[in-house]
Amino acid sequence: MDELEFRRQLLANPRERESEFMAAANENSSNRKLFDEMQSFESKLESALKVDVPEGMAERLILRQSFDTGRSQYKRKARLHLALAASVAFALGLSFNSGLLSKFQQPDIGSVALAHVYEEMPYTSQANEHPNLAMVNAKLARYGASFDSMPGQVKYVNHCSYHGGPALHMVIDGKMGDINVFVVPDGRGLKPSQSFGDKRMHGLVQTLQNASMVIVGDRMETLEPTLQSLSKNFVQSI
Amino acid sequence: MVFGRKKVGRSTVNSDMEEKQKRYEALVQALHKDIYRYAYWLVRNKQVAEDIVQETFLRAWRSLDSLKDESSAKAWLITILRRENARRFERKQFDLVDIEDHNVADTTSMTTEQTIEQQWLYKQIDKLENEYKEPLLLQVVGGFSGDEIADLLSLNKNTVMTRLFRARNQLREALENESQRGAQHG
Repeated sequence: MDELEFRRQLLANPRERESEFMAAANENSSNRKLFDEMQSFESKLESALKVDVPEGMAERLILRQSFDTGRSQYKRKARLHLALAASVAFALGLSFNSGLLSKFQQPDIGSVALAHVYEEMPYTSQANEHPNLAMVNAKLARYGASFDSMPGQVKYVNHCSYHGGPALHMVIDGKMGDINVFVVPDGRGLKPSQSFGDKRMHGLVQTLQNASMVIVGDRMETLEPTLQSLSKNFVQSI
Repeated sequence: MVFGRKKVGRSTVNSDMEEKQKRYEALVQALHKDIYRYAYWLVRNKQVAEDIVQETFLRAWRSLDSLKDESSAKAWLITILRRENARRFERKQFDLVDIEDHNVADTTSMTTEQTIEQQWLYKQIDKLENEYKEPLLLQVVGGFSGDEIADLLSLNKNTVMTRLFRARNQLREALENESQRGAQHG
């Protein structure tokens, strides 16, 4: 490789390490010098090009996409609901007396909680709104209940749609990530369950006066103490 | 029966969705920095760069199923980004320069002299014609080979290598002139 070709290749790609090229780099002192010079030049170039990336950008990219998902799911759901309503009406008309209705299975309270946690994870995992006791209790008032004191480090509290009716959804800090807490009023027709889980998360249900408290956390999280202190702290006035 | 079938269908849809979501998040985590830096040098403005990156990833999400091979994800995103950028130019010509207020990465561990040198290098990179700058960005920021750059820019490889040579040559010449001037003053 002549010097001109060596120089051409070196400047086109200083990080080239192909054997013929490296032989040329070591052939004489002037090539060697130019090679070393270009290595340090390249390091400067690399670090200059490596500008700071705005903080939280990955999270913003994921959040924006989750809104996009929410929108398209909503459209799909609306169509699905319409189709479902039609087929329910049809099934009702056909089989009101045939006992088919008894086979219609309601989901259990735990699997609804799990599905809800997954669905809202993109929103709730970003939230840290530091609500105070008054804000938590203001949301709870609707369910005729309140907390005596702040139930742990609360990050998020709101109403949510829980199998077609309102429930309280609260996110608190656990040892292994977020713990989702639901207060679900009775009369939702859900099958009871005491504990539930999948590969990633598990949960427990505590039956209260006119409601159930459902908590969901990471598989590795010990939920019993949290559930105990939550329900001890919980006052139902209705 | 009808309901039973419906339920199965629904949960498959959900797990497909979860799978897609995971794939997307992995893509964001692995590549958003390189993609942002590429956008930044193309448009030289932090806000516009972030907007383009947002658009790019949103489009990527919507057509994620068309990405068959994860190893070509970066080239795929760059292609989307370049198209986004071209679209922006069709809409409106921007001439925004905030290059000087952009902090260089990791300035804390650098001496003032190094920072000044780097700021100077910024301006020189910025002065490069796009036809030289883009292959250089693809090579240094994107880590692409000459062949891959040729593919991305629809050029032949020799042209790419020549442009890479010229880009560095220009930067080096500017550097030499600068140090000569410095010597005269000093």
